[in-house]
Amino acid sequence: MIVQMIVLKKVMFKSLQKIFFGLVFLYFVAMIIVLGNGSSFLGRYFQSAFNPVANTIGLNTTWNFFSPDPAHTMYLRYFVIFEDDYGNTTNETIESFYPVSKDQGDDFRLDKKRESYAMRFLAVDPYRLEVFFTPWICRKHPGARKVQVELFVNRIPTLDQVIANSGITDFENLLSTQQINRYVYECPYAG
Amino acid sequence: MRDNLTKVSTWIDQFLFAKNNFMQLAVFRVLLCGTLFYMACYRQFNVDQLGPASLIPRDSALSVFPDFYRPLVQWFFWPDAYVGTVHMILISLLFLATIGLINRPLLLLTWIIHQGILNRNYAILFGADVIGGLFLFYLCFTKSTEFLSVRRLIFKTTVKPDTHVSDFLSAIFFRIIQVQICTIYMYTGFEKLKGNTWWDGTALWTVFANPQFSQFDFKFLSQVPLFFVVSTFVTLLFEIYFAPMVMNHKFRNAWLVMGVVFHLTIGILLGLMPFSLVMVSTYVLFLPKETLLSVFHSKILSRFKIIS
Repeated sequence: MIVQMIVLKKVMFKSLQKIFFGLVFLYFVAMIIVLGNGSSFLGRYFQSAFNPVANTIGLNTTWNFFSPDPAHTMYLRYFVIFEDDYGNTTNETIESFYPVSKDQGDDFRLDKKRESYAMRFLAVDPYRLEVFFTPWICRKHPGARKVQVELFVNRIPTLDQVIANSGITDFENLLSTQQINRYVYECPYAG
Repeated sequence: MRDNLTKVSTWIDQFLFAKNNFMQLAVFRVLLCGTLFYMACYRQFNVDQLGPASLIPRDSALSVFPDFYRPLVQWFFWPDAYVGTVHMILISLLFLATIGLINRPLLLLTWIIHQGILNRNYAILFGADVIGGLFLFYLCFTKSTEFLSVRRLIFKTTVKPDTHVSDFLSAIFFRIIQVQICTIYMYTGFEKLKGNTWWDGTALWTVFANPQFSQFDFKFLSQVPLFFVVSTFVTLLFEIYFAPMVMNHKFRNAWLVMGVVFHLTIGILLGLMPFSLVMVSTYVLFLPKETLLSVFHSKILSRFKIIS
């Protein structure tokens, strides 16, 4: 009788464990599916149930690689300006690019590639240029007064344009470079 | 009615808990942690971006996340000044995880540091960092060192692949990883359908003609425009139909082979090898353990006694 009871308890405990882990599985699967499209109605509706966990473990993210359309070539050009309180130049202005490889890609080493990712993070919002990029550049150039930042986008010609214009010999001419924005920001704590 | 319910519950029981998946999890661990280890070694060169000289100041590290995605917990518990040391610890832990000299709590610590590093500078994240981190989190709950591990060699414990029963936690997280990879492919395919160039069939031209993406100059391929059109649509079909195809026994192997070719191609041509390896590492979870065992029992590999 006692042996039977022990066996029964073990079976019940195992069943309860299975039910518990089954519920954990359901929760995760629902979270994975709903938050893949987190901005949808379902995503907003279940926000309080899923977001605390999903945001903490890094699950709440969009899976939009090269989408909705692949990005065009981008880079930042910036000028570090050295001036005194009266606007007189105190040092030669430094022109540079971020990433350093400009629009060429060139170096695909992982550590270099992260710069391109950081540039895209900055380029989508001028606020980020002011709040993150400018102070960072100013810290790297002690004595700097201002930073002028320009975002360039090289629009890749469409395949139709390339075919219609006798192929790749014209590629560089077909590539249109656009200067999207130009901002001048004061260095924090300058002067 | 009762019979049907019993059938359903038996099916769920079989699906979630019946099989042991230690062999697949071991190969997955080696591939995933090996890739994360490789990425972390390179990230050591960017360690300034994770410390006091970072583009993102420490106090803004979480506020740069959009509200909807902002983590609740600040995983970077270390002071910025110690990031070099912490990152070296992460590299060491990832190495130990790759060779299987690790247990679940240590793997969880590895994930916490990894996630802290990711949270510290959101701006420099690769897709492979994020997806790899997520899979590492799931891996923490599984028994992934039952095979292919130095731990097994040291303790000389014998594991019989056919008789070993999986624990519940390993079993459900094994399935969760499978669901996760299918969902990633599905959504990335759907997201592409929103784009004009993907509908138009010329998206891959934009990718390959962009020197910031492409490691080689493929502009000459504009002479063969159909190459881009076919590749674009094959990419869409592969991603959108990944889930139903790997669920179907008939098409599973074909789709996985296609996936390996697809990822190796973009890995080599677009310099996205870590991303490709992270994605491909999950494919072993769709293979029967007998297939993997036969590979590791082959004459050459059995010499190394990496499995019992």
